[in-house]
Amino acid sequence: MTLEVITGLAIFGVTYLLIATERVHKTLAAMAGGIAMVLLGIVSQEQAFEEIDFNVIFLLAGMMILAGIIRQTGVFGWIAVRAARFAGGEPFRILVVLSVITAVASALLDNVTTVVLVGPITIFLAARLGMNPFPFLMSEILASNIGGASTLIGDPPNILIGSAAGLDFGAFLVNMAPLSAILLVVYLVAARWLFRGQLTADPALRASLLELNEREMITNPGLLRISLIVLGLTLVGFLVHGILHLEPATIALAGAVVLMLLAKKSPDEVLREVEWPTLFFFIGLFMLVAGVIEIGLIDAVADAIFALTGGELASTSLLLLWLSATLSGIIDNIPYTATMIPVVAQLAEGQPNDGLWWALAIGADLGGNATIIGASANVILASMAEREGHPISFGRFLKYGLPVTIGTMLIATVYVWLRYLL
Amino acid sequence: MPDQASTPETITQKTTIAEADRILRMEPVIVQATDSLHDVAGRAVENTGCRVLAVVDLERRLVGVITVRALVNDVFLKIVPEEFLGEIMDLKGAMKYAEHLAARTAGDVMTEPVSVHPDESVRSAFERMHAHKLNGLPITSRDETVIGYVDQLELLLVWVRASGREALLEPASGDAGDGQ
Repeated sequence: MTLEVITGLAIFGVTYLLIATERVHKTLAAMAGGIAMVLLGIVSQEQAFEEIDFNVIFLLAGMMILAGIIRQTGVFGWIAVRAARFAGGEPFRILVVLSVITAVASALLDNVTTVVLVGPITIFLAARLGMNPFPFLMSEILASNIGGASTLIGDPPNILIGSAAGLDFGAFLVNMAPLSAILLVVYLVAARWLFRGQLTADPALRASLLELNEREMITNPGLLRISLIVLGLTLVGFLVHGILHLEPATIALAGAVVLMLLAKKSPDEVLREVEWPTLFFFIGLFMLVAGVIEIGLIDAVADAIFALTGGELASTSLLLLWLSATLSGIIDNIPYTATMIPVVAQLAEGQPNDGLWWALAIGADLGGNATIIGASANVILASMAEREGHPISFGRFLKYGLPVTIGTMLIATVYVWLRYLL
Repeated sequence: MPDQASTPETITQKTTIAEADRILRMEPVIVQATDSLHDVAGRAVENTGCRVLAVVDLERRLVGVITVRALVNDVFLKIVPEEFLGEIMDLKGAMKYAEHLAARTAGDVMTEPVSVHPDESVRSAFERMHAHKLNGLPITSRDETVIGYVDQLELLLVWVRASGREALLEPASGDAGDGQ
């Protein structure tokens, strides 16, 4: 091993350790790792910058701008309260509608925005029903990760994979959305049994829910109308971007610019809402991965997997599926996916279909459901529950999250098998 | 002595809180950390001049403060929590909402204790109010027992009177705006 390889491995290892242990903010850790790769001469700055995938950065930025404006409209409150009334105040039905709303919203917007908006409404509804919000919040966490898996823009690993593998919005919709729909339905059927005894509410309190007026939730009807039209057009744009010869990133930025123009929003205000730390986290990771490619680590991992599976599609896909789910439950799925993409790119050469890419996406997206730290949506809803006086412990989360993850992964295994390996 | 002609500078820099309290004579509103929000609101309306309530432990020692504004918001949120849902736009707002939804006692809604001692100057009271965005402060003895209350607006009025600058707070007459 040369000095360069040792140094590169050390930078990569320390960066991952810092991200996993949260000793340093993950953005700072990734940027420090990426810059260290350049400063210590592991990778040239030209190469490092070339690895920064602007399709990913701009797609994320565009969607963040859209979500930032949409969340000011009160649309989620409107939908949730209307749905709760529609459910007749019956707890299990409310659980179902809130989960479906969360899954669909997570497919179209980022999971964090979704749970930040759905979470408060949920604890409000639970308080009104005199219930512990746990069954609702837990279901929303699981639904947000399952729903996020269904589209190109639903979860950051999908954006990374889509851009690297050239898989577009339509491809995700055809390959991932059916699986998400199956998993959500199966989960909701199981939820009645999982939360047995926890879904009862006083009939008088249930009746009080029906008096709520969802119209009061809409803060800005004009903005709401414009936002929904632009979001709808952006989604149509994603569907036809191949025909237009435009990248999804271009469509997202176009949607963001059009919405800012129509909503007469000042860029100062809107751009302040963009999650710059997340964008720089990606930039740092791309540079870090450039170094990892340079020292040959990616080749080594790809060779190791090849040696294990003989490069055969079926065994490689299943290994990738379960490895991704396991590691994503423990570490952040974004750096994991960013590192695995060049590995899968090597393994996917000469394969008859994109099964390996879908295995990576499914594993990385669903693995986040296993533990309370598996995804940002989990952490946010858990701390919201704690603030509200109903903390969710690591163990309690695991008791529900792990069986659901194993169950969904088993279904996903059958799905991958039937769809790509037969 | 307070009756002597004081300039704005002397009243802020030299006047002690003890002297200011003798002029103002404002009563503190003191509640226990375990008191319900209902009781706290009841005490607040008995003495509406006091805009920052003192929360104390069993030994009457200051453990936190509650602004009337925050109290009003909290009581309002208890009655119509749905009114506040539409205003949640970000993570911070969502977390705050969760916290307030659970609040039941003075201890749940109070913020960190801030006070002035009688021998401190009015200037330090102003600085502390500014730093903590409070309109008044409990006065505490050295062992942090609450012994009084000093209000920002009253203090300012005393200051304006002492400096003979009442005209600044009246409608402008003659040359518009230039009050110097």
